Amino acid sequence: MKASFLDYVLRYRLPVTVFVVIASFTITYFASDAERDSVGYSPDQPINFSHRLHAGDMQIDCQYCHTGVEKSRHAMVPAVSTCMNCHTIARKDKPDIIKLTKYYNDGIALPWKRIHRVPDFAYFNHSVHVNSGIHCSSCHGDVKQMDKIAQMNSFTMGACLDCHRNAHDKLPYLKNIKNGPDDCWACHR
Amino acid sequence: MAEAKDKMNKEENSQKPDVNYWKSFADLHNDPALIEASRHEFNEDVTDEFDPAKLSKFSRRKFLALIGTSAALAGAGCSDYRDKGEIVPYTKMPEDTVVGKPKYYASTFNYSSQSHGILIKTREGRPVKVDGNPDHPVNKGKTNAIVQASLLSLYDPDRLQYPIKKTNSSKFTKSTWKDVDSEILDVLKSNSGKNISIITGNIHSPTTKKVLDDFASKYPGTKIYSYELFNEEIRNSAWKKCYGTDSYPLIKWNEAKVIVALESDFLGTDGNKVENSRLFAEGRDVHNAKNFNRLYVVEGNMSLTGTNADYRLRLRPDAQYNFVMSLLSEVSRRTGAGVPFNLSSFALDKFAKAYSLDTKKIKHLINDLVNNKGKSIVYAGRTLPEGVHIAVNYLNEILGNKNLYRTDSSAFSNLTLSSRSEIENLVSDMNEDKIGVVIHFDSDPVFQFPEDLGYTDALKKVSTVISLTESINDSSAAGNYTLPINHAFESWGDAKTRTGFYSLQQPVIAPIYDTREKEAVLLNWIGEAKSDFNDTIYHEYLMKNWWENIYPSLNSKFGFKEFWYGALHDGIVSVSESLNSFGSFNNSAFSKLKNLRANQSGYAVILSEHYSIGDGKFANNGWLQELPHPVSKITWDNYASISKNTAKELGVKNNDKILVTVGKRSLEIPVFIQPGCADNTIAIETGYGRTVVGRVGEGTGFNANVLFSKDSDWLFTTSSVKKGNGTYQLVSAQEHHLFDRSPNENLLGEREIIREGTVKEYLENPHFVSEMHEEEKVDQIYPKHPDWFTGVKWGMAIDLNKCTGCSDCVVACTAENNNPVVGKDQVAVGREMQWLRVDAYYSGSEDDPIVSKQVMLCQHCDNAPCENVCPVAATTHSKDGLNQMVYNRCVGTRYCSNNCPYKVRRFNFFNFRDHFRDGFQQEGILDLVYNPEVTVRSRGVMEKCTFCIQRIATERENAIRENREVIGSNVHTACQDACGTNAIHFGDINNKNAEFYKYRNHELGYYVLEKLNVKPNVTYLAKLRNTHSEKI
Amino acid sequence: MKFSNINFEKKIERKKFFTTVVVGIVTYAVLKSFPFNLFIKKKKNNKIENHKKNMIKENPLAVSRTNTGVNNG
Repeated sequence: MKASFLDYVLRYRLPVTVFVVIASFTITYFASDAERDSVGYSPDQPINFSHRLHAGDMQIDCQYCHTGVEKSRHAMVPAVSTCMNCHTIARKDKPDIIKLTKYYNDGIALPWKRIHRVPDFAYFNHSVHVNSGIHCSSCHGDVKQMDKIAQMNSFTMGACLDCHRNAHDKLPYLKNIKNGPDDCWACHR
Repeated sequence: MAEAKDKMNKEENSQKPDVNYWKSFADLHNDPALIEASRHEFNEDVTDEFDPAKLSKFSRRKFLALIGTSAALAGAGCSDYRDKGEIVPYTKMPEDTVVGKPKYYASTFNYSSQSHGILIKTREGRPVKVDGNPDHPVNKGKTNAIVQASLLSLYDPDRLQYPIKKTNSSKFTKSTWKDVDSEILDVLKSNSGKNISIITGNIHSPTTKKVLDDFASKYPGTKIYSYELFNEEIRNSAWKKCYGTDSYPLIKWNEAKVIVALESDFLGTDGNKVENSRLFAEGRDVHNAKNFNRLYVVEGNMSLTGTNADYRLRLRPDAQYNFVMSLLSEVSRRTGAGVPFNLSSFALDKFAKAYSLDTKKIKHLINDLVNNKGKSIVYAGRTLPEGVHIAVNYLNEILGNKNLYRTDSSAFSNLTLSSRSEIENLVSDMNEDKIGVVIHFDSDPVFQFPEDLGYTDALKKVSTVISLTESINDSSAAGNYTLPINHAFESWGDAKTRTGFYSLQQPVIAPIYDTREKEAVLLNWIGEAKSDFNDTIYHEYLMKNWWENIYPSLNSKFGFKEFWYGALHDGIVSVSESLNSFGSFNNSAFSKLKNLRANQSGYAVILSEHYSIGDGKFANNGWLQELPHPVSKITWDNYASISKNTAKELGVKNNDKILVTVGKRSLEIPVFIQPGCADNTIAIETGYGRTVVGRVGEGTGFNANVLFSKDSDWLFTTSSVKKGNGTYQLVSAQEHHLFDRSPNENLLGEREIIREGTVKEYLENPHFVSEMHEEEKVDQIYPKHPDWFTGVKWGMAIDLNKCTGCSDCVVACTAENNNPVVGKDQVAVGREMQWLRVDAYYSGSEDDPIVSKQVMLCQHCDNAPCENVCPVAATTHSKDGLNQMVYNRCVGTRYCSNNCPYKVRRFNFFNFRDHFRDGFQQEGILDLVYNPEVTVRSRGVMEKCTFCIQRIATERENAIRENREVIGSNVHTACQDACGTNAIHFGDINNKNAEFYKYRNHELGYYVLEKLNVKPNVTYLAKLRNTHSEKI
Repeated sequence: MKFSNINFEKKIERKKFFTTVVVGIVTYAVLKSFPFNLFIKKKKNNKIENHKKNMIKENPLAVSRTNTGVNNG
C-alpha cells in the first residue's frame, strides 16, 4: 500500500501541484505587469490632442505648455487659455477645436485622462529633475512621436530608485550627473 | 494483568443492554431486526431516491465552477484597472499662478483691541497658513496663537452659510438675502420715531467707521455703541487724570532695565503680546548677558509673565493699591522726592510682614527701582482699579521713568468705547420701547454684558433684532435675523489702531458661502438695495475713502492706482503723524487718593481674558480649544485657580467644584490648584460657557461672565467662596509624556532636563553649564557613520532665555502639518496629536515655585533609539541629520515611541478625523485647510516633528534650480516663524559662518538627557535668571 | 466507483481541466485585444454641478507678493 501511495504522490500530485503553482505565479506576474507599472497605458482623451503634431512636426517646446516643470513640483497640464493662444484662429473649423473652444467659452473644466501618476504618498518634484538637466523623454519616452500619449516607462519605486542609484549609466547625455538621493524623505514626506 | 482482564470483562458486560433502559419492547427483547437496522445510517427507504443517474446535470461542483468563471470574466471585462483618474487644468489660468507654488498676500486680522498685520500663504487659490507681515511695524513678521488659528475659523463647518430668520414658531429658517434685505429695508424705512442701535466691538477700521456714520446720517436716530469685554478704559482714564491725554502710552520694553509687572500679564493677554514679547526679549540676549533686564512680577495667580519672572511675589490683587502706596512711601523716603501727602501709614516693611512677602525680594525691588531711575517701568494690569493706576503713574513719574513712554507712536482709537452710563441708557431705552431696531455688528452682548444690566430681557422688547455674525452665538439666537458675514480672509478693509501707519486688508478667497461683508450689508441698506448687490461695493467704497480722505495727505509720488496696488502689496501705508506730547503730572490726581484705602475681606476674585479663547469669540476653534493653557496646561475648559492653602481651607481638591458668590450672582466652577497662586485669590478666565456655539465649543467650560455686574470691573473684593456640589473633570496636559525617572537620574536624583543658572553665575563662570555635564554616558552599541553628515546637517537651537512659554509655536505647527484635533476625552488619556509641546517644570518651594519652560519636540537624534527597533524600517536616518518617519511603511507597532526617551512620538490611535465630534473634521470644507505639501495621516501610523521637511524640500528644490548649495538659513520651520521672540533657531550646523552657529555652539548650550548618548540635534540654551546671586 | 474505471474518469477530469485552462487563456486574449469598454455607457458630467463644486475662487483685485521677507526681500 505504502509504495503505491508514494508513487501516486510523485507521479501525479507533485507535478500537477508544481505546475499549478508556477503557472499561477507566471500568469499573475504578466497579467499584473501593466497594473504594476502601467507601461503602455494609453486611454482615449476627451479631445484628440496629438503630441506628434504639436511637439514633433511643429516643434513646440515641451515647456511652452507645461510651464510649471522648471518652477514647481508639478509639470502642469496647460490651461485651456494656453491652447486658445493659437486656436482662437488656427484650425477654428475642425471639430476638436470647436469642442475645445466650447470648453473655453463656457468655462468648463477639460477632464484630460491622466496617464502618469505617482501615488499621493510619494511627493515627486519635477523641477529638481528638470533643473538637473534631465530631458523630458528620459522618463516620458519619445513624446514627439506619439499621436496618443501613452506611458512608456515604468513608474514603480523600483524604477525610480534604479535611476537614482545608477544615474550615470541611465542618463549618458549628462556628464556630471550625481546619483539622486535614496533616503526615504527625498520623496515620502 | 488479572485486574486488567477483570476490567475488560466488566466493560464487556457493561455493553450488554442495561435492562433498566430500553426504547421499545423490541429493544428490550433484543429484536434482531432492530439490531440490524441500528447498524445502518439511514433507513432503507431514505436512500432509495438517490440515484446518481437521476440527478440534475447541474451539480454543486459545476455550479461553483460556473460562478467562478463568470466572476473572473466579469472582472476582466470591468473598467480599466489602470485608470488613474483625470487631470484637470485651469480653463483660464490667473497670470501669476504656478500650480505648486504658494502666493502670499498681505492683509490684516482684527479682534478685540488688536490689529495684526499678516501674510497669508495661499495654495491654488485658498489660504493654508497665516504668518506675520514682516513690514508691519507692530508685528514685524510675527503673530500669536489666535491669529494662527484664524485659518481654521475660515473653514469652520459651523459657519453660517446663508441668512436665517426667525419665524413665528421661534425657530430659525433658511432665507435669502433678497428676502431679508427687503424685509429689513421696510423696517428701517418705516422706523418712525424709534431709534436704531448698532452694537459693535472695537472699530479698528476708519472706513468701517465712515460706513457707520453714513448709515447714521441715512437713518437718523441711529446710535452706535461699542464695547469690549476687556479694555484699557481704567488705565486710560487714570492716565487722562494724570497727564491729560487720551490714552496710556506704549512702553519701550526693550529699553527697560527693570520691569515691575503688577497683576499684569503683559507677555500674555495684557496688551499686544507680539510686540511686548519681542521688545522684552531684546533685553534677554545671551550674547549680551551684561545687559539683561530684570523682571519683577507681583500678582495673584500665576500668569505667563509670572513664569518668566526673575523675582516673583504673590499678592492678592485687591492688595495692590496698598502695595503701590507702600512702594511709593519707601521710594520717596530713599530718593527724597516730595509727595503731596504723608505716606507714612503705608510703610513697606509693615506691608511685607502683613502679606508675608519675602523681605529680601522687596529690598532688591526697591534698590533696583532707585538705582535705575529713568530706565525702569512699573506697569499695572488693566484689571486693577483706577487708584492703583494713578499711584503707579506717580511712582513712574518720581522715578523719572517717563523716558520709557513711547513718543513715536501711540494707540489710536477710531471710536471711543461707550461708557457704562451710555449702555445703561440704551437698556432703559429698550425697555421703554424707544428702540425699533438693534443691530449686533459682529458682537455678542447677550453673552458678554453683565446679567444685571438686563440686556437680554430688554432685547425681547425690541421688534427687530439683526445679528451680523460669522456663526451663531448667544446674541444671534436671541434675535430675529441672523445674517452671515465674511471671514476676515474674505474681506476688504483697512485698520488703524496705532498712530503712524494704516494697515490694509484684502480678501484672498472669494466668499465660500453665501455671505457678505458686514460693511457691504450696511452699504446695501444705505443704498436701499436699489441695484443688484455686487460683492465689490465695499471695495469701491474703501478705495473711494482712501482716494478722497487719506491719499491726498500722503503726498505720494505715484498716481492713485499705482499707490493703491503698492499699498495692497505691502499691507501697510506709513503716515507721518505727530503725537500730542503729554505734559507734566497733575499732582491733584494723586492727592485725591489721600483717603483711599483698599478693602480686603474674604476672597479676591479676579476675572481675566482667556489666553486662547479670548472673550469667547473663538470658542468653536478646535486648535485653540486644544492648545494647552501656557501655565496650567488645561485644555477644553476654564477653571478657578486657587492656591494649595485656599484649597485646604475650602476642603477641595482638583476637579472639585466651588461656588463663587459675588453679591447676588454666583458661579459654580471646578478648581485647579495652581502652584504659585496667592492665598485667598480665585482667578477665573472668561470666554467659555457659551450656550449657543458650534459643535466644537459645545459643552466646554463655564460661563464666568455671570459674575460681572454693571457696577463692577474685573476684580471683586466682596465675594464669598465655598465648596460646591460635585466634580468636573479638568484635563491638563501637564502630566503627559513624563520622562522616565531611571535610568535618567544620577545618584543625586538629578536629571539633565533643565539646566539653568543666573546671570551673575554666567558672567563669573561662562562654562558653568558644561561643568554640569555628566562625564559618563551610556555606551553606544552601533558603529558610527564616519562619512555621513559632511554636507548640510540640520539642527535646532532653542534659547530658553527668550522663550516665554507662550505656546504660539504649537498652534503654528498644528496649522502647518495638518495635525488633527482629538477632543477632550482623548487628551485625557494623553493622545493629543500636537508634535510640539511646552513642558513646564516647577522648582523651589511649593507655595512660591519657580517655573522653567522647555519646548520639547523630536530631537532628531543621531543615535536614535527609535530607528533601531522599527521592524519595518519605517523610521530611518538621512544623510542630512533628519530622523525620517515614513508613514506608508508604518504598521503601528509603537516600539519606536516606547524607546523614545523624550516621548515626542505621537501615534494615531484613531483616524481622529472620524472620531472627534462624530466626524466633524471630515466635513468637506475642512479638506481645504490642509497644507498640500504634508501628508494627512490616518489611523495606525506614528508621527512626530519632521523639522518641517516640506520646507527643507522646497529649499533643496530652490538650490537645484538656482544651481547653488542648500543654504541652511533659508529654511524656517513653522515654529521658528511663529515664535515672537525668535527663541527658536534652525539651520545647518556645519555652516560655520551662519548666525545659527553661534547659538548652536553657545557656552550655555546643552542637550536634554545627554547621558543617554542618543546624540540629539536640538541644543537648548540654559535659562539665566537675572537675580542678585549666583544661585537661583 | 470501481477501480477499473479510474483511468477513464481520470481522463475525463484531465480533459475538463485542460479545456477550462485553454478556454480561459483564449477568453483573456480576446478580452485584451477587443476594447469591450466601448459598450459601457459613460456618465455624462453634469455641467452645472461641476461649476458649483468649484467653490474656491481667487479675488482678482487682490494683490499678491512673492517676497516674504522684510522690505519685500
